[in-house]
Amino acid sequence: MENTMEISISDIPEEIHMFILSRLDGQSLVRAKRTCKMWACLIENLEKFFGIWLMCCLNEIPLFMLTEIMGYNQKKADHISLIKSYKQLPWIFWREIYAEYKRAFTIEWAKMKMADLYYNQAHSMVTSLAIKDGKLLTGHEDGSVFCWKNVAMEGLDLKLIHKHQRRVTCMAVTTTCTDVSELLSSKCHTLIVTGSQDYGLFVSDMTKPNSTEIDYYNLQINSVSCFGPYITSVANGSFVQGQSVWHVSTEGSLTVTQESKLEPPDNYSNPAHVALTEDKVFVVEENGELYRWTWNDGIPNKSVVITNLSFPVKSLICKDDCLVCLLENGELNVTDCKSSYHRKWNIYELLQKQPESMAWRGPLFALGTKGGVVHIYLVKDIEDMKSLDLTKPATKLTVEAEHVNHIAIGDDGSSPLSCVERILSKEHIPSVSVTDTCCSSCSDCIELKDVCEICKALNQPSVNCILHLTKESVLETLDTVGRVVHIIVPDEFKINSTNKVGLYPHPVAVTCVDHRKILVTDLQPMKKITRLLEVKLHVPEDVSVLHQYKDARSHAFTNGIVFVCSFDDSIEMFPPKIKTVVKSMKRDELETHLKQRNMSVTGSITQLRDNLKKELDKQMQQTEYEQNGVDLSTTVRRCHSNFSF
Amino acid sequence: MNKIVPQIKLETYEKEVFEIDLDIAKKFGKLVPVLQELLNDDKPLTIKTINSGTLKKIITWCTYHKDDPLPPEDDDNKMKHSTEEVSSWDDKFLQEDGQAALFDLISAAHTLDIDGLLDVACKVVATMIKGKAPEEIRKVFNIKNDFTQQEEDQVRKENDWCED
Repeated sequence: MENTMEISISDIPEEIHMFILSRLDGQSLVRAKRTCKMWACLIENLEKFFGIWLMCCLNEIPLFMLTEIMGYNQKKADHISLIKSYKQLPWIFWREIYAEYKRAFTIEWAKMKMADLYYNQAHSMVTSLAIKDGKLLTGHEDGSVFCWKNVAMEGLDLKLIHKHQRRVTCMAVTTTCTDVSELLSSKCHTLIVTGSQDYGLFVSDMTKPNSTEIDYYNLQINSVSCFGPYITSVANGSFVQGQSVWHVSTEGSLTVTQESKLEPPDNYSNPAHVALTEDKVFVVEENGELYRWTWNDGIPNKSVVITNLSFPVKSLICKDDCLVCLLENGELNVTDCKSSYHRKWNIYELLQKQPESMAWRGPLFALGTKGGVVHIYLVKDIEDMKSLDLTKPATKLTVEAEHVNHIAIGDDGSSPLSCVERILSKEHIPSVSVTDTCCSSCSDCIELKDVCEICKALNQPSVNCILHLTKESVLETLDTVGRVVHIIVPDEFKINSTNKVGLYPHPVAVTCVDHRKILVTDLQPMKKITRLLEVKLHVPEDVSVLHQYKDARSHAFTNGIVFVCSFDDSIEMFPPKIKTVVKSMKRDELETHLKQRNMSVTGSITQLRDNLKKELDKQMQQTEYEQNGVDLSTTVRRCHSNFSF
Repeated sequence: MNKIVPQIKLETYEKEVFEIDLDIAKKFGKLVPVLQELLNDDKPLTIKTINSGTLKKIITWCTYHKDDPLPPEDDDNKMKHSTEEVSSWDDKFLQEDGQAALFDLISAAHTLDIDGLLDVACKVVATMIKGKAPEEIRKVFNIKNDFTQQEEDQVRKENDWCED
């Protein structure tokens, strides 16, 4: 019998489409969104109301990488309570995290940009390196610690954080919170800890200008490691004093208290490297002996020897109980403490190059070798690390230098970022290279043709309204918006009695714009003034005021235009005057624009410009947006502004 | 004396009557509340939206998975559950009759509320989507591209991180 009921995918109910789409991985989801409008709409629902991005993050990214990308150390928690706390964060946050994770994979094919950063030679070589939230931190031979802002962008800003008396030997960056609720409570601080040959261990707060010094050691500090608000470090002879773990409190002024003191091992030499996790301390001695301390009900146990690596260790990384050691003899050693797995590679044999430095962040693992080559590998999880094929890097980075002394990996909000500290063999100019693996092109000019798009956009669900303005959800949403903005923008950049520039304390709406920028509408309830602000996710202090409005309560962003909904039922657009960029257009651009409008392309370039300008002006007048105001009741059906508190 | 296995009767679109063991019928979430009634009633229950071929497949699937443990009910566990791989038997079984049959099966599984089958069948379809470019996806499922060039560019721009 012939089957008369045969159906295709477009005939099955929407609900089933949702079932199917919700089983996709994040990357396929984005592609599926581009196939047709129905899927685009369904996926948008999955994003906004079903937390699909959080699911993708949890399913595809190992937890230790996820929290690393989120920028903090997660203390152990069961799966259910973790999901519960993660659900407090908005879906946009998870999409951004997912995008950042996936972005790392673009290194395989994306073009690379490289920039050399030069600094005063008086500071001499860089001896330690870190990237955090788009900022580059460098520790120098002369003891200075610098923070470079806007490394990937223009307008480099160099700030001295501290001046040690002698060489900075080690550096660690940490975020004080250890779970999401702390992250949301806006009590989260970012700390930089630097150790030096001058025996000083310096802790400075990047969130608030605060700092303190730990005066404990009486010899050179070799290594420092952090987990949340906990710090530990090792110095020459520090075993004699007892291995110390400190807790940093950011309440009021920065204070450091000793959390516990670990008993030294029986036969010890100088400890060279340290790694701290939630409940373990790993120390490797200068001769390669690897120790571990654990705690039992808050009381530290005696140390256990894990292995003897037989050679001095150049660099030590600890991720989720997996230890990666780079040895002086050119060996890479991976030890998984959970499964007592052990493997070693002879890098020199495999790559014919002496390894000098390594770094691991998210799915990127980088290995710097003599001759100025940095091999970058994609490592999705611990298993990938264990089965790493060193001869097949995802990409290679060549810097014009003899040595690669330090590597740091980060993300600037639009592409992965890696930093290489190198020494030029001939000229000896100290410099740091920043490599941006993706050329991010960002066209900020909005052309007039966008105006026509607006009319369309208003009839589409793509108007990105975050606030679901129903009575029940308004208060809850405002609360969430407040929390999100407060995480992103530190206290010092919020308005108070001394600080006149910054955020008002009452953010009412937030939307995500391309490239990790967010738009915030904040409210001064007393004066009923609202402002539209642009905040860069990785550079929270970079708050710029775009426009000021009278009592706006929500906004939406689409096609480069912000729609600000005011309390009096009107919508205003930003930018208020739409710029035409005819003036700087080249001939070929002019021609395409003229052709689009069925106009003649003959004549001198000035004539063409004039023609286009006239046409654009005419179009401008024809649109109903002349007064930059739109009557809500007639024009915008999808945005409801009648809400009450 | 042989114990008689209780059975219920279902009639398909083609008016073909199927006798289904109670154990199997219990997997049909939709039927659970009316099972007792159906057992007592000699008249078959007519389900017009399901054809015989599909019902046959459903019975085969349910018989094969008769002894599977019930999936956890908890909402949070569902997230974890959905990452489980599709077994090779399921994969072959669901794909052997082509796409249209698979969609029939999904619709039927949805109508009869058979969670396990719906989950696994959706996963199979999801696997067909995975790793494909939008144009390839459209080809596979015969979807019409109803985006304008500008709209498509806009969506692409928003998600430039996943291009390759």
